[in-house]
Amino acid sequence: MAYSDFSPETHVQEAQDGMGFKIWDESEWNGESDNTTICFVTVFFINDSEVTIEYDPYELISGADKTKFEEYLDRDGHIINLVDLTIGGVAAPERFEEGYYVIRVTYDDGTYGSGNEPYYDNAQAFLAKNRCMKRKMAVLLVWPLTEAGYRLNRDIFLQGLYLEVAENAVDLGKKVQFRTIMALVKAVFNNYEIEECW
Amino acid sequence: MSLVIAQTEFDNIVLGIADHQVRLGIVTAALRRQGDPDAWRREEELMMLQNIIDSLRDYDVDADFLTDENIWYLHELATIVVENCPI
Repeated sequence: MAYSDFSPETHVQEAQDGMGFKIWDESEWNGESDNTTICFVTVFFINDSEVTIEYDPYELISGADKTKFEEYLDRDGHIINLVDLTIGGVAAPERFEEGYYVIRVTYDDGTYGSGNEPYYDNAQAFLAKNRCMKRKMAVLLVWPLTEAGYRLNRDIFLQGLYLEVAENAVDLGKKVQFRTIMALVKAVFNNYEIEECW
Repeated sequence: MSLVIAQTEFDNIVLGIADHQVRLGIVTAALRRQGDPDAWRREEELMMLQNIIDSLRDYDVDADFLTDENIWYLHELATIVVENCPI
């Protein structure tokens, strides 16, 4: 019997080093999570050319082993490391490229046909490298603040704000706006010659 | 190379800076309410402390992105800002 009243929802948090992410469940299960026999995560990276790179499914339930799924159900979540992901059977890059991602979690209690299973898409900006570079900017500040210092101070503050805006754009599915904001963020980093973290 | 400092000690440093920022925020808010022309300067300093806190908050000391020198510089900078503010 299919889920009676299932409202899936998943949260995602990228690791600071861009080498993985934490995923945890916020679904309304109506007490039926135990019925789940298949659950897997699919990562989609939509690059600036609108090309979608699909990672191979990552199983949260593998046969009778529900360990990962149970971690996912817990608020502490399950950590998916990039080294455990593949693209077309080939190992994924060492770190997530910065950009627009959709993390899809698909669920099945064994009653759905292939392609008809319920799923939840979480659009998510992966910006670990930009966040890291923003951390470095404050090191440029000096005391007392000069005219240039005031400008730098504001630029650092605004850089954090623009990164928030970029993340909000992805949350709302606005790809073009996301790229526009990120172009500005990149220009500011270039202006202050902030080195990339990796 | 990761930091020598322990995560707990590091987190306490960040909390200390945040505590200074709260006190500066109280002073700044009062100046702003009074229409004091000096309020904007305090607000810039408040922003500076926020930038420093944002650099350090939730940072994993096992990561390599900030050097020991970076950490201690930001700590010292925050201290100087606070010492020069009327709080």
